[in-house]
Parts: sequence; C-alpha cells; structure tokens
Amino acid sequence: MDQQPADIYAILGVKHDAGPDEIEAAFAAWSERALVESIDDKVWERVRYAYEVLSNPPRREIYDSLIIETTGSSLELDLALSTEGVPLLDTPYILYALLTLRPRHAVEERRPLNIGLVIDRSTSMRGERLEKVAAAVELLLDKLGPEDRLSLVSFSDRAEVVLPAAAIGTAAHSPDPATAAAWRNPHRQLESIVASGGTEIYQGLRAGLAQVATPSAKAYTNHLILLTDGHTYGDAGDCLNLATQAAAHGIGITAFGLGADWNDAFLDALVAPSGGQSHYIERPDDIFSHLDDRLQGLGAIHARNLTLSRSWPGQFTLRGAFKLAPLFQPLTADLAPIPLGDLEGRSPMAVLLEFLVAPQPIAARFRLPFEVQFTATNGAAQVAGRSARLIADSSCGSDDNRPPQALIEAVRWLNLYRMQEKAWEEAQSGRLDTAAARMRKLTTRYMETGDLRLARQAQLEAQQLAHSGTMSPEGRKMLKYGTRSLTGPDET
Amino acid sequence: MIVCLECRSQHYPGTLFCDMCGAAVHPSARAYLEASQAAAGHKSPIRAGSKRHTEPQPAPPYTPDQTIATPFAQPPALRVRVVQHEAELVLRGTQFNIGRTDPFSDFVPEFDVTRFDGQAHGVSRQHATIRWREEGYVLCDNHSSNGTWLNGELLEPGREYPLSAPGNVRFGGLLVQFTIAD
Repeated sequence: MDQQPADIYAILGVKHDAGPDEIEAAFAAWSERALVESIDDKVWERVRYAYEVLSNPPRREIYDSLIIETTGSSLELDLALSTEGVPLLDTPYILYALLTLRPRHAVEERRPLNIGLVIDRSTSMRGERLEKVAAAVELLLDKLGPEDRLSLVSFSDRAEVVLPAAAIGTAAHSPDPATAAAWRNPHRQLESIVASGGTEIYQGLRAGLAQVATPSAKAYTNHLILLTDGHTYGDAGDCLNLATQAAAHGIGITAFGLGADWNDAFLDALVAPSGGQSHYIERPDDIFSHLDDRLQGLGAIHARNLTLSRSWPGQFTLRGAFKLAPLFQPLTADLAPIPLGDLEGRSPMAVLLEFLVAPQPIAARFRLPFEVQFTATNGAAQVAGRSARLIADSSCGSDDNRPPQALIEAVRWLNLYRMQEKAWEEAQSGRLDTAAARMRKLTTRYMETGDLRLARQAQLEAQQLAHSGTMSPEGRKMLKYGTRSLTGPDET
Repeated sequence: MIVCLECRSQHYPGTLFCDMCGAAVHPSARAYLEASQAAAGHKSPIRAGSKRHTEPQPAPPYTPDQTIATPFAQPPALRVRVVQHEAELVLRGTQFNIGRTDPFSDFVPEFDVTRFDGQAHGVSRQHATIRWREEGYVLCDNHSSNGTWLNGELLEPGREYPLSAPGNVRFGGLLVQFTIAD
C-alpha cells in the first residue's frame, strides 16, 4: 500500500509558504499541462486534491497543523485522518487515523542477539515436524554471529534445557561443564529431543525466559521465539502474566503456530505485551525460512519498544488498533500505552486506529495528539509526535470528507480481516446461516482483491458451513493469516 | 445512520466499508473500489468476472502464432526491477528460475528473491521459470502456491506465456518489472 507521506505542497509544486496567488498559478499551470499531454488519472486526482485543500484557508490551516514535525526525534511520524471535520449529529461518528513511522536516518543498531528458542515436543510434534525443527536450528547456528547468544528449551508437560544460553563463538569452551558439553555437539543434543506428552506452554516459557534473562540484557536484543503445534491446557493465564513480565524486562516474544491445531487468539495475546508478532507455519518445510526471516528482522533494529500513548481527548474512544506494516498484527486497544514492538528492517511501520467520536451536538474544535515513545539506537528515550486538529461544524456533511487513498486501502484490508474473524465467531456460536452467508460474501471480496487462493478457500468453507455446520481448522488458519498477509505487499 | 446499499445493514457515519458484506458505504471508498476494479478490469478477466461469481478464466495460453517476432537473434539481457525494494539486477542466459533458495534440496534459483523478503511476499521456492524461445522470452508458473500474474492476468500453471518487455509480473505478492537491458 502507498505509505509515502503525501506532501500536497510538493504534489502541486509550491513552497510551504506559498501565497494564494502562487497556488492559483501552480494549479493553472497543471491545468494547461493537462490540456496538451495526458496526465495519469491518479496524478491528476492528487493534484486536484492538493489544490482544493491549499486554496481553502480553513482546510489549509488544518493540513498545516498535521505536518508540523517534532524536531530532534530520530523517527518520523506521518498522520492521515479519514476526515478533517465531524458533522453535527445525534449519533457517534467513525474516525480512522493512519500513523506511519519511519526512521529519519538509515542508522541500524547492531546489538548481538540473545535468542531463546522454546520448542514444543508434545506427541503431535513427532516425526517430520521435530526433524525439520532440528534441521532448521542447525542451519541457523551457522547464520548467527560469534557474539550472538542462543538457548533452546524443549517442553511438553515439563521443560528441558537442550542448549543452555551461551555465545555461539565460545559456547563449546564455556567454563560451565554442562554448557560446554552440550555445545560441543549441538547436533546430538537436538537429536535427543523426544516427542511425547501434552502441551503446557507455561513450562516452556518459564524455562526459556530463565535462559534469556542475563545481567547484561541492555547489550543484547533479547527475544523469545515460541514454536508450538497445539493448545495449551489450563495455564493460559499464567502464560500471559509471564509475557507481561518479559515485556517489562525488554524481552520480545514471537510465536509460531505450526499446522492447524493451535489457538491463534492465545498466541496473539501472548505477543501483545511486547508488541511482537504471531505467525502461521503451514508446512514443516517452511520452519527454517520463517525462523530465518525472524532472525534477520531482529538483526536490524532502528528503534525499540515503541508505545503509543493514549493522549486523545475523552470524546474519542479507540475501537480498534492494528499494525498493518511491515506485518499485520492486531494490537491490544485497551492497554495503556499500546505496545507497538520494535521498528525493524527497512520498511516503515503503519498503524491503523479506529475511533468512535461521541455525538457532537454543537460546533467545536478538537486537538487530537498522537505520541509514540521509543528507545532510539543510542539508548535515549525519545518521542515522535503529530497533532491533528478537527472541527465539528454544521458545514460538515456525513460523507463529504475525502479520505486519502492509502487510508481507504488500509481500512479495506482491515474490514476483510474483521469479516473472516466474524464468520468464525458466528460459526463457533452456532449461527451457521449467518456465517455461511458472510463467507459467501467474503468469496466475492477476495476475488476482487485478485487472491484466488483465499477466494477458493472461502467458497469451500461456505459450502462446508452449509452442509456440515463446521469450518475446517486448516481453512480457518489459512484465511486468517492469508488475509493478514494481504495487507503487506503493495500492488498499486 | 447510513445504510449499506448491498445488504441494508446500518452503520455510523464516517464508516468506509460495510463490515457485514464488505461493500463500500462511503462515496470515496466506492470510488476507490471502482477505480481498482476498472484498472484491473480491462486487463484481467478475473476481477471483471468476480461480481458474477463466475469461475476465473485463465489468460489465453501461449501459442506461437500469437507472438510477434523480436529483432533479437541472441537472448537479450533482462533488466529486473523489484518494485517494493527499489532494487535492480540484470539476468543473462536462456533460462531463469524464480524462487527462493531451498537449503533442504540445494535448489538455488537464478533469480533468488530470498533477500527481497520472498517468503513474506508469498513467493514459492520454485515459483516460476523464464525461458528464451526463438520468438522471445516466455514465462511459466510452476504451480506456485500464490500464483503468478503477468500484466494483471493470472497465469495458468505449467503453461508458457510470452513475456513482453517491458512487463509487470507479480510472483505471489512480489511485484517485478522486466525490461530489455541492451
């Protein structure tokens, strides 16, 4: 999707302090150009939009208020709102805000990694799944640097330390004899993992966190990677407490669900306190590439522990918060502040917020501040902020706002994601006709996006709901994570 | 309240898309969907047909008499631009595999998209192949998981399509532009 900041002054080709005459002249020049050469519709649309805003003093003032930057911050925060004015109504109004964060300078932090792998070894992992995990870990050992720390814990209804935490380069010569012995032959250690027993994720998490915890935590990028293929039994609450403690100690969590039989809502909740990601691994063959991608992301961090302050006025209720880029992840809208995770890699982070604005019976002006706190690469606490101004006025109609294209596109993807979540909830609670009808609608919507694989799956699920009253767990995971990945690639 | 024209459900003003049926409820959202359909519509039978619930029709398969002979006797080098990563590279030869390195089978494609987040973009390991034929380059999807699109048209797996240059190809979600380099 188009995450570029739309500086409408640049689009029209005028300076930020241009007077009304210059703006008129610039638009006249564009109009003349349009007569003699063909201008792309999209470009023309943007030019016209830029002119409409800049030639209207109240709208220009609101736009200017959006582009005032917080100076001295190493992150740039761009803000797009679905409207500049709220109509006077006796019902609530829906407002969307799209926040885009990108590093101002291409400075990456090169801290060594401190990774704790927590691997499910319950009975269902037997065979290919565990073999591929072991093979993937061996390949990853070659990719890590000598300074990087790694540990590996396996768990079923209890946990064992397979590889104690140690720096890769010196692990085999560790002063601790048990550590040295394990690292002298990691291959044998990995092969010794036996699949049996149930899945108690708490056991694995606790043992994994004990390995990742280090006195020199600040010198490392500390991260726990959980890989499971099952539901945890009776300890979900304890797991979430542990995840919150981990986040407080600066330890991030990534959760991978393998196959179809795991609890996606639980894994999303588990990664929420640290602003981490949860992923679906469809086939054991994909384990290595998923883990490898994750380590590459952790290796290039521009800013860490981003959090969004809840600084908006009381008339604005946050209904939903979603990270759309670099990867889709639902955010916990009721935490304060809202954890956004680290800014990794080269792609910007995009966050979509949905607000319910309380009914506005009389004209008013609002200031809507957005503040993202984070730790910069030099360790300093910094803030990136943008403030929007909104008016509530009788001149505002309920649908004469012109949301930016990037925001419309973001809301479209979010809506698709919510529809498949709703269909699943309806199927779970026995409202099968509604679920099947929604799934048929989704088939059409996926077709519109051009993703035939998701469209076919939705069609199959709609048929299955109508005939047998269930959705397949595989289809459920494929639609959910397939829709999440739709939001990433740019097709426009 | 505003009403969805497709399913008659009610929404608060300011809503862009109906969360019941997915239709656009705001004029700007409707214009956006129509524009994206129209942009795809004249090229792609898939998007145009989707509203009528028809089975997607694949783009017409490659047959030699459809192609126009190019003036190149030797295969010209292909310049490849990976749009989302602002990267360019040049491919020379008569056959290139597009995909991701598979450490388990030692498969290394000529055009390896691993470093362009190929996995995240949904590119399969052995996603597609470009071959030089007498008439020009052809593109063939190797039964990839997420499909290959040439200038907006979904390719039928296992069939060869003439790769016009310049051409826009989407491997899963990865957008790539091919042009003749020399």
